[in-house]
Amino acid sequence: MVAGMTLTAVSLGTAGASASNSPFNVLMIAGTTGPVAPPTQAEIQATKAAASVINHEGGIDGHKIAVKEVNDNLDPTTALSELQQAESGSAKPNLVFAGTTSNETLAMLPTLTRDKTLSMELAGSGVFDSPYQFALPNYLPNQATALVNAIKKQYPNAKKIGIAITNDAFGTSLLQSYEPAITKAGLTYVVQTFSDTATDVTPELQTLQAANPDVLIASGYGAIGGYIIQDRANLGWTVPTIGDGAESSNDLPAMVPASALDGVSLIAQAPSVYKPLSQESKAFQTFWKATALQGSKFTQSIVLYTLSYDDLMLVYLAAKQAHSTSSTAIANALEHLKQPKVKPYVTWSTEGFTPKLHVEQAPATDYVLASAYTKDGMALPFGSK
Amino acid sequence: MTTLLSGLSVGALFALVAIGYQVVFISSGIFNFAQATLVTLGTFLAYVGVVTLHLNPILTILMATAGCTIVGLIEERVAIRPLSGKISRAELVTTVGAAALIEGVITLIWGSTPLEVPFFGSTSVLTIFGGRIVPDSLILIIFVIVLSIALHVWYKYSISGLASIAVAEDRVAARLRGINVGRRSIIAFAMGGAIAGVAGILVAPQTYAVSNLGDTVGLTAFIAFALGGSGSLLGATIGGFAVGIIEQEVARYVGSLYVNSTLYVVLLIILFVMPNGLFGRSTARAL
Repeated sequence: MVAGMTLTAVSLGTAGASASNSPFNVLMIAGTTGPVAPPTQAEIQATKAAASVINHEGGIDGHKIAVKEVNDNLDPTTALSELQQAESGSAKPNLVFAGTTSNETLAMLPTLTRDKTLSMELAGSGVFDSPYQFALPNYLPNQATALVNAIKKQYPNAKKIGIAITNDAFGTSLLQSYEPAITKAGLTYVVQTFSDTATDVTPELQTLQAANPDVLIASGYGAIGGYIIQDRANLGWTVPTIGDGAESSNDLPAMVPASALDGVSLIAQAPSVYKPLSQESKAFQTFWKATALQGSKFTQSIVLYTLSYDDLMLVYLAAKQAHSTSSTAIANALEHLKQPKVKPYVTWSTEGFTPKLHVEQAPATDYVLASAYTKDGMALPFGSK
Repeated sequence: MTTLLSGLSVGALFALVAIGYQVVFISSGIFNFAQATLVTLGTFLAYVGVVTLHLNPILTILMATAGCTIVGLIEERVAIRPLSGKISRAELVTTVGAAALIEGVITLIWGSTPLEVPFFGSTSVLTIFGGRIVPDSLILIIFVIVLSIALHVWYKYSISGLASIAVAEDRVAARLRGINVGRRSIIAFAMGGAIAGVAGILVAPQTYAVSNLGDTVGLTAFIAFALGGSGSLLGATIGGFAVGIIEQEVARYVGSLYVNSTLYVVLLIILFVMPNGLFGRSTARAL
């Protein structure tokens, strides 16, 4: 019977951990050196944490998880070469974390699809047309809705929104998601964009200030995010300001003086808001302890860890529901994931995909307004200092 | 007025890097693409001094100056001197390589997250002619003006400065006159490094210590350099301030999408009318 099932899996050509004592191979091909090394290391740390938790529970459908990371230096050619080597080797991967950026993912995708290898990613747009490719980035329309909802709830008299945002590809995508959400909520808006390489955004903020918005949305990833907040303070502008997903990725208290953060709050994913560990869910406590055991400390946004952790947890859950490690069966289960009573994942209240959309849609209610101040790398609750 | 002050503040940063370009160019005839990255290094050394070691400003400046000077000297030794008398203009490549290497090391040591470097003085906003400016920006503007004048006087009236200009104009003739050309090049890179080191503590409160600052500032500072004219310190200073003011005024009254195109149009017009830049000199040689 077992031999028959194994034969079926092999004949279907799907990547599965066939022998009961064979490991479930997870291959992470990503840029582990250079400027993206810290977030990549965070992803590896959290993936290993998830593997240790799952292995403690008996593994994926009885197969212990073996995690291997390979540095592709963010080079798509290297990424593809490493993937091809792994696919033709003895330890064929059951699951691939395909790249730090979309460029690497795109290079690997044809091979992954051809070999029916399950793959996950955090950074990409998730629009790749592959039955075996899944992604957990922030779903921008829901994030925009959450942001507008937060504004309406916290500032009910607000009528006009100012938006200070970078004009790079990411900023443009964000802006495109904000415009319909703001209009739908019956609000008006004014926008000022600027280069993400600017070192001063005083003029753009002056223009916004002259338009007299009731609330300002600040959006900038990296140093530019700090410049927006700092220049707002230098102008003496006290308009209530909400940092969006890009802005909340920054460690603002480490970048600007505390006085510049007066009146500034952030839209944040629920798990990134600080609570004493004892008040967190059991799944989060497990995540936290397991991840801490894999590395010295949390150096990146906590959501980066939780999303990576959830990547593997979702595959674990899907394999459990499919009673199989075959990529086809797991992919099918991911598209029709039954939400368990005890959820092993920690980022969103519900997780999973649909046959049409392999990008996870985080519920808008899973975003909350939080303080710009942090504790242990997590945002404090709204209004806290 | 706030926009103008903001333009002067941003312009001071561009002018500072452009002055560094000029100092190296005047004394060695080499365009050092790594100059902006040396300023980046200066901001991180300021971070180490102020935040990590809690040193006072004077010690921080001394440490940052020493650090950047040493790196400037290493750059000269490794990326410039081996090329002496070999391939023409190969240093255009090696200085870009040096910039990439320095930035890579900075990222490896300090990461890519921007780090705040608190200003050593008051952070209360000042009001000047109705415009708002923070004290660190004001001091940076004053520092750049004073530095520019001091260097101009040194090049114009000191033997050492005149020797540097002689090397830039004709290395062979300068050598025949007994000027140690190699030493001029060393002094140039050391000065470029020292300027970057001193600047670090003044620049960092505005820009943070962030590893890609050199990429952000380097190209715009080159426009300032070209605008002012190669070989002119005052030109670099005025070019830097002009670029900063144009950038901020266009962003305020026209739109930030038009900033870069306006800058390049202005540069093109000036170079069409004055091919050597606003203050550059053309030289004629009889053969």
